[in-house]
Amino acid sequence: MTGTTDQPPTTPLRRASSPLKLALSALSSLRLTVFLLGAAMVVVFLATIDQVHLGIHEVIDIYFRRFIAYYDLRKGGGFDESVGAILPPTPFFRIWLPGGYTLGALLLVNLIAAHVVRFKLSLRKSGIFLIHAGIVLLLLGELFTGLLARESQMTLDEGQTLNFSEDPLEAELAFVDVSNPGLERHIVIPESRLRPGAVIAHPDLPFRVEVVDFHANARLRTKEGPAGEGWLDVPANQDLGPRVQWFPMAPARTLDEVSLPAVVVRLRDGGRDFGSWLASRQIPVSQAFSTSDGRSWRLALRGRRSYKDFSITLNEFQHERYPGTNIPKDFSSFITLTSPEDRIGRDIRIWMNHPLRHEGYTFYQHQFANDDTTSILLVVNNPSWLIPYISCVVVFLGLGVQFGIGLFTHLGRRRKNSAAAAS
Amino acid sequence: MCVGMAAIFAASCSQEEPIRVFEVVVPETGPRDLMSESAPPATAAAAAGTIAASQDGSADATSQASRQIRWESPDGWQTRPLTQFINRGYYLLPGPPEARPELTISAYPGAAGGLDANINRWRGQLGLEPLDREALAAELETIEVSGMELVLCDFTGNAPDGAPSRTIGAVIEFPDETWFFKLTGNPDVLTVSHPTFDAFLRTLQLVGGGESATAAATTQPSAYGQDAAPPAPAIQPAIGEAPTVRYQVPQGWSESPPGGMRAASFQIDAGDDFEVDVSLVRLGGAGAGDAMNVNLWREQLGLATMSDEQASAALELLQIGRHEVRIFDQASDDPIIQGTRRARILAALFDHSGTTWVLRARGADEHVTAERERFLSFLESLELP
Repeated sequence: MTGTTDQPPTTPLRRASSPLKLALSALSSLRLTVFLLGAAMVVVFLATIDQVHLGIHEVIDIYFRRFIAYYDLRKGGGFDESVGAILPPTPFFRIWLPGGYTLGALLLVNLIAAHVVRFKLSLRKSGIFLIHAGIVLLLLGELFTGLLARESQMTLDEGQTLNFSEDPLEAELAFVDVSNPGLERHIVIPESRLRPGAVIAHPDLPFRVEVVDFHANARLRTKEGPAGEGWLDVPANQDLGPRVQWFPMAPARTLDEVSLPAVVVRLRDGGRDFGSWLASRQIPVSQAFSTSDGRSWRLALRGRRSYKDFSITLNEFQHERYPGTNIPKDFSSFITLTSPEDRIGRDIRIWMNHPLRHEGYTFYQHQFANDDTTSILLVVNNPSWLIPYISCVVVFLGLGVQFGIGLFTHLGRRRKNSAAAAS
Repeated sequence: MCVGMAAIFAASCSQEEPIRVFEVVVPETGPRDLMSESAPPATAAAAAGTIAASQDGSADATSQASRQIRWESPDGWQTRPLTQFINRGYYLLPGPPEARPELTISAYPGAAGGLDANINRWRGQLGLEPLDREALAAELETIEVSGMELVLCDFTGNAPDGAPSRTIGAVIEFPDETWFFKLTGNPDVLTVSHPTFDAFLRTLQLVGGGESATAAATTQPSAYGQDAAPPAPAIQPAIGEAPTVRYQVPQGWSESPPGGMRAASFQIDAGDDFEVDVSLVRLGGAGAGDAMNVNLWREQLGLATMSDEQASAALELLQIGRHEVRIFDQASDDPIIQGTRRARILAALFDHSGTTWVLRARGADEHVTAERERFLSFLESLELP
């Protein structure tokens, strides 16, 4: 791990007599440590080169946030005249690998088992314990981050106020009851549940939602002729549906591409059929309908939203460049943060490496657009954000303690030798 | 620790994602918009009346609009300041930085020249030939949205600079007012924007008369030659009726029916598809001030604006007939007429019976210059009520 493992015992271990001891012996093995680290390097290497084909988010998901990962050998690809686009290479053989969760879990177990089997807690080894404790904390921190952290974005034009952020990668089908002028009731179905054939019912919805069709990525166009060349008529008979066609595509795989999911749902309320509706992230406009109980509804497919009890107004976005060049020097968003207990609001500047932390959210200056009039803030909610910092401190402390112990031991020995030589 | 980890994995991996339900408080002022702001954007409150365009582009404070239409602006549509001609809504849509589609929303009193004329004008801007009524009817589509009849059109051609361009438009004709929704841009980019624009049109809702539907128009004028339906602001009938004037029509000037705020309207054929447009307009009261009009015309010519003192000093004072006239006579630095000719505005401001009048000629630099003498002689012949 860190080169600070204990020396192997001078006498061979007695043959283990119980399964538990056998298991502990195997799990605490240094060979296992070396194997796991080697496997981790291979996984990281393959994940890195696979980023050519996959986006960073997909690489993290396939290689690191699973127990079993895979690497696809690919061939082909190139410009396809029939679709007028460059097609990616096609996978033809899959190599299965241990995923990040497997490697992390085994490394954790290996480290703990090694301490149980070989290490004895003493002052002389306290530094090593601290170092290993810091590493355990780091591994656990990454696990909690993977499971609990949420990222979203807040896109603000100058002068605009928002009290929610949206996940650009995850969509939700939102049914919003707008019957009450002062209060909207949002019932949102996550994208993962929008599978063709699914029937979704909820106590707050006075109708059943039947998923007619869903595409994780599809482009829309206004219907200009009969279906063909990949363009299909949308099986929706309400509002915009009959007027558009869609072109199903593979999900976006690089940072330059965007997946625009689209869904057609049929809404039924007992005997009444409200028709079939198209909702797409390409069309960020909600559609209106009413139910037989007199309620007014809006329907939209949008990025997964997280509403806050505070709002942010973008007063100005500044983009500074180095004089005489187009090289960016600084991006700053000048915002006003308004919370229920502070109606006037606080003026705050968010700029590179200086995020805003508020109510468990961290707002980073992420991107900008529209000739520097739109700022995109990355909003991160990660309950375990402190763990990596704590683990680094613990490891650093451990290193200091262990090397300090070694230094004083060495100095003490030298003093003894000098005294012995003098006498 | 292992038990804890196993529990976390089990909790996170096994369950289907739940359906979330939550409530959002909506501010009571302003329109609700489910897809963009949670609170309505801070709009510049209208001062006493909006600054709306007179037909020739002079700035003039007038009264409020008569009808309110609300809509849902999609997320990603960037709001731009209103102008004299784009007086209800102005958006830049998502697209390549150098080719973002533009949506303009305008409303004008009456028929604003008529549906056919406006549609053919849009066609002309794309280099397309005008169509007669029958041919035009075959090109148009009508849909109903919230009780309103929208006439849709979709044309592709070439912009004056030769670049491919597409216009997708919607016109709503009310008995006393006409609304124009015009989306313009590169044809390939509009293919992506079209469904969203279509969905946007379906969010239109007629709210009713009274308040202005949009933020106050700014004093920023439209660029020279920018499209507008024959602009005429919403004005009170007493002011809006075309005043009766007498004059002698100079040789070569073709008179066309006045309308809106134009008391007189002429075109001069300068050949090679160029023409000079001349208009006589009565502004309300003292108008918006000479400096404002000067800067308005300078902006139309692509020139930098001036301070009030500089703008006033830029006017030439002449006594013509019974009128003490302030003359504005400037040309653009760049060839902004069809990309080949510099533009010139020759305008005369004068006061009569407590109101300000403007006689303005605009066209290619050399053509307007050639008309200066006839312009001044027309001014001399003018008899106002």
